Amino acid sequence: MGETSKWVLEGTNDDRQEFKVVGTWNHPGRQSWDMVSGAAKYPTDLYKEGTLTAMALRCPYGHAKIKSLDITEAQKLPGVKLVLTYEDEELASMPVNVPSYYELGKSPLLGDEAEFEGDECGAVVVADSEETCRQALDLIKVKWEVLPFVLDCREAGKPGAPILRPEMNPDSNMTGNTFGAPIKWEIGNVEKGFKEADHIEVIEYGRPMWNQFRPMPPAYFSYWDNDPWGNPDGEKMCYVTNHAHFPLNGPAISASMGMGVHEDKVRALSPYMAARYCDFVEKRGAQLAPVLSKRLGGVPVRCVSTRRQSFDANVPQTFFTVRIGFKNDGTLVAVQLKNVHQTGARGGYGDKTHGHLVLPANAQGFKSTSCPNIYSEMEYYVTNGACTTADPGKDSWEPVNLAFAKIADTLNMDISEVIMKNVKVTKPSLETCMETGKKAFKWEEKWHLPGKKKLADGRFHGIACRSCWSMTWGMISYNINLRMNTDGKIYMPYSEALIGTYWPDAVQLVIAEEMGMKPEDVIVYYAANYPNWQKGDAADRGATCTWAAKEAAIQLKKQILETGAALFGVTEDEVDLVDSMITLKADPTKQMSLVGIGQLAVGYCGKPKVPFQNDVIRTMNVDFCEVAVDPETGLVEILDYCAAHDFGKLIRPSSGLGQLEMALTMASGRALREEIIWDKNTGVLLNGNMYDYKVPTSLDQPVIDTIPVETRCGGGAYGSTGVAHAHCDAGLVGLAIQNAIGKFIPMAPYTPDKILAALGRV
Amino acid sequence: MRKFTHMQASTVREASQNAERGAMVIAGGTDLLGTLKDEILPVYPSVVIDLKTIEGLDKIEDQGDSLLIGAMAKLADVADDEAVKKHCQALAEACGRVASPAIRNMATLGGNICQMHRCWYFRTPDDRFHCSRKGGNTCPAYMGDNRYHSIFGVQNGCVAASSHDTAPALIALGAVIITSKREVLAEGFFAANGFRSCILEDGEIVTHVRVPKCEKSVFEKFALRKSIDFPIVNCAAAFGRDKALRVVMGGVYPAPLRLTAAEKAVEKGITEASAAKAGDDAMAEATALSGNAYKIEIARTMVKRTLLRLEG
Repeated sequence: MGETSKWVLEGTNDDRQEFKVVGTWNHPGRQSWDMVSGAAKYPTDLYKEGTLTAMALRCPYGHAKIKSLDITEAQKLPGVKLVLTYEDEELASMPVNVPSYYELGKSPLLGDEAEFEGDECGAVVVADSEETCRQALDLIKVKWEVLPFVLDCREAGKPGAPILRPEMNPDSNMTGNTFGAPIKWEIGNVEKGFKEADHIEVIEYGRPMWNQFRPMPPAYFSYWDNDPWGNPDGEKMCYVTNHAHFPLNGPAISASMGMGVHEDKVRALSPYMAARYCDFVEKRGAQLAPVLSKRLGGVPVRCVSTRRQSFDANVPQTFFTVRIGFKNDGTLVAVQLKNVHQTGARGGYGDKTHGHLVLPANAQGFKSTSCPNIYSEMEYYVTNGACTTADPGKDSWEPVNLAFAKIADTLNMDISEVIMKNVKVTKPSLETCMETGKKAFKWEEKWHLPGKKKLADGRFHGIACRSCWSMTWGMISYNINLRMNTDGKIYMPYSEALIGTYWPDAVQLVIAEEMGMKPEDVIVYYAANYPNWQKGDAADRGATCTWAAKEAAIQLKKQILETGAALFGVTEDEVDLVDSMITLKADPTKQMSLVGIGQLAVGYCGKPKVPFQNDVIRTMNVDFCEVAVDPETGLVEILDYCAAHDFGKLIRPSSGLGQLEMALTMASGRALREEIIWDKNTGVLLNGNMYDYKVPTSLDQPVIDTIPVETRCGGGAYGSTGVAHAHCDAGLVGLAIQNAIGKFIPMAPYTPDKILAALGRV
Repeated sequence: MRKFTHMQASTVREASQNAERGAMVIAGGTDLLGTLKDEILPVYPSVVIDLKTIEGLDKIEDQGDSLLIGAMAKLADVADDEAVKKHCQALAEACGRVASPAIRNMATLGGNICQMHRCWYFRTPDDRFHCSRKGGNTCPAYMGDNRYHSIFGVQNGCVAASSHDTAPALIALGAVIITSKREVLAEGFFAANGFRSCILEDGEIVTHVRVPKCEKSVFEKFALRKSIDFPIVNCAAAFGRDKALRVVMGGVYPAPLRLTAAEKAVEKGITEASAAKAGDDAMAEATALSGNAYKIEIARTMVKRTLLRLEG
């Protein structure tokens, strides 16, 4: 077993033992109700009288440049209000600043070169309807210069590969398709480690591009109107939809930076942005909509995309080769990992900082093992597939778990033992997750050596488990404003976009817990432009936001008790808040309503003492997977899927456990069916729809057991931590398949063709 | 989607006459509306004729030795019909495996047998791949990504795989397709024919399907998902009242294939061994494209499993 976490809870009441609200069920959350009832307004739902529609010209080739563009006929079409081209001075100058720091390629807002099939390029049309837009786009005469394209990041890195973005490396001809030289680092002495090893093995693994936008094609809605505070500076207010959740690339920021107006002149219209998974990519429509609206005098403009066009931002490809050295007892002593990663079109997010630290399947996760010798080399290349988004967190653990599986396979060991032997910090979190998870999954009954068990129906049976961290991202300070209104209710505004993480509903419970309020008397509400933090929202950060909300709640409660004590004529130590009532401790039948006792408010800005991530792992999770593999058809069925997750402290069970189910469902789809597929001869996307891109249907939903673990070791309120990033791991299913058929398949998804090939039937 | 004029037909003749002038017909619309949204064809109709308003086309009638099913009968209704389940089990099972419950409550039997192929080159929006089915000169799937395509070669310059779930069942059951102009055996109805997947001519409309009752029939489908997906391979087998066995497979050729080699392999009885041989014999002539050799293995297995289930 490994080391014990030294983490100590430091916030006020973080060590609370008795909970009345937190961790309990049946608290209908406002966000939850909005989303399940259909009340939530998403960008595609927004419409105002007189709204115009905007659509951009899309490139039909894998990579192409516009040689000439004639918009004359399009402009004449009845119903067309505006046609702008890449030669428009304002568009050509945008973005004034780079609104998304992930778009390091600094593509213009609307250029003359398309970097992938379906890329917005050359012209944008505003008209009275989508139909008119499409007709106008058809009338634009375009001459394209078709350019070479590359869809595989490994190919993009080879000498002689077409240079896709020569401006990225003007002084270098390294490959032309990367932002810089490979990033290399080493801990210990890897060659020395390999000399000490009893076994040396090599693992090759890769995964395709996966789609990011699922339930609805994005739309961007914007209009300009008088500032309700008046127009002392002559500037109108720009209203935009909120459709991204990360700092510095939300539409409000895009609009303000792109338009050169101050942020206070930009107001987001709705917190709801539909389910997107850690999406770093800002769509151009977010910036085009306010620009087009302004050019048309402020009329509402709605930039729309088709379903297929929404496949223009995807989770990147990654490929790695990992060489491991280990002892006869399963101890890992050396790791040498090379990662080739895709940054996608327009530069993607592949900057050194993020690419290196968090995102790809590089060797970062091995730092959490006790392996003393690690070498990492990472290359990253632009391609013409699509823009790429983030998919962070568990990726760093993907090669770690594959290494553990390889050790287990080579030494005929139980992989759960290899995990516990090699992870550096195992107590209390990993140990608890492993123990409770194994028990729930019936691991001891199910485990067998690879390829050694068949089910009664003739299918191969396999199981696997894998560990991963449950990240708490503590790099952002939260600005919490709490006030008690004259109605006696507690209000907390927020402005972040919501992607289905339900964190406002969790914050509501924490505030209620700390203050002694009924949950229904705590109202966490959307207030556009209220700066909780920079902008946006992320699942894991929601946990740390609860911490700041707790601190604020404690301060407000103190004020309320001071007021209540004065009204009762006692000291503040003699009163408490119970079920939203100021209550005399000595005689709980004597209570006073908060209604009308005044308006009190506090502001708290701060953050828990949480490291950004990586090297310190206090909260962990272990997932278990059981599969059946049909040897004659190669079809894989997930029989049991179990997630033992250390929430630190589970604040809102329905949200927390629901997120686990969501993540495992997503992982099952990626493992078994999902991949972006292009025509290799043209670079054209082939499966940009919900039939050919095979996300799980409700019938494909595996049986999922969610096992909450609470070690109080996280950085959020009461030691809580986040969920979402940790479990969307396709590799685990591959390991279970390996246990079933005795063969490792080096590329997801694990479709019948690959299974049958591994079985030697094809 | 672009605008079109929506007409509600009151008779088959009225619909047929308008269709001859270039209008498209719509039944459940689950296929047509998607193709119009994506503008997959080089032409776009100015008029779409609704067939659902023609009275009586959604009935299922027991005619003694056969069932007469109106083309507008919804797949969900066919799947749930007691007479179909009793006498034409393969068809009921096939209808019950099409797409999803929501789609089955919209889609019709006539629409299913007339739907266009699901080849992703053919279906790429805006006629991006002007393939041989649309008047072009090449089949981009032949040299492209053909993982879901034909394993029995080309038909009329096309390697798309037939994607109707009901077609193998109808052929196995010896059904007859009744159109506004003629009656055609289901076995001769399906073919890559311009953008159509059947032999219908301009203005010709399917009105009914006559399905002979049989002793026993079954349908099997292999797809990556349990819902929504079109088949990678599907297979139907039926013993007619004349004791003749028909085995038909879809998803392996632009039209469903009658597997006479498989039928011959089990003419002395269906056993584990003869069913396996039937699968082997059925696939003896199969030829994989660059990316779909795995389909031959799946098809081989599906033939075997379908026959064993028929016997069981």
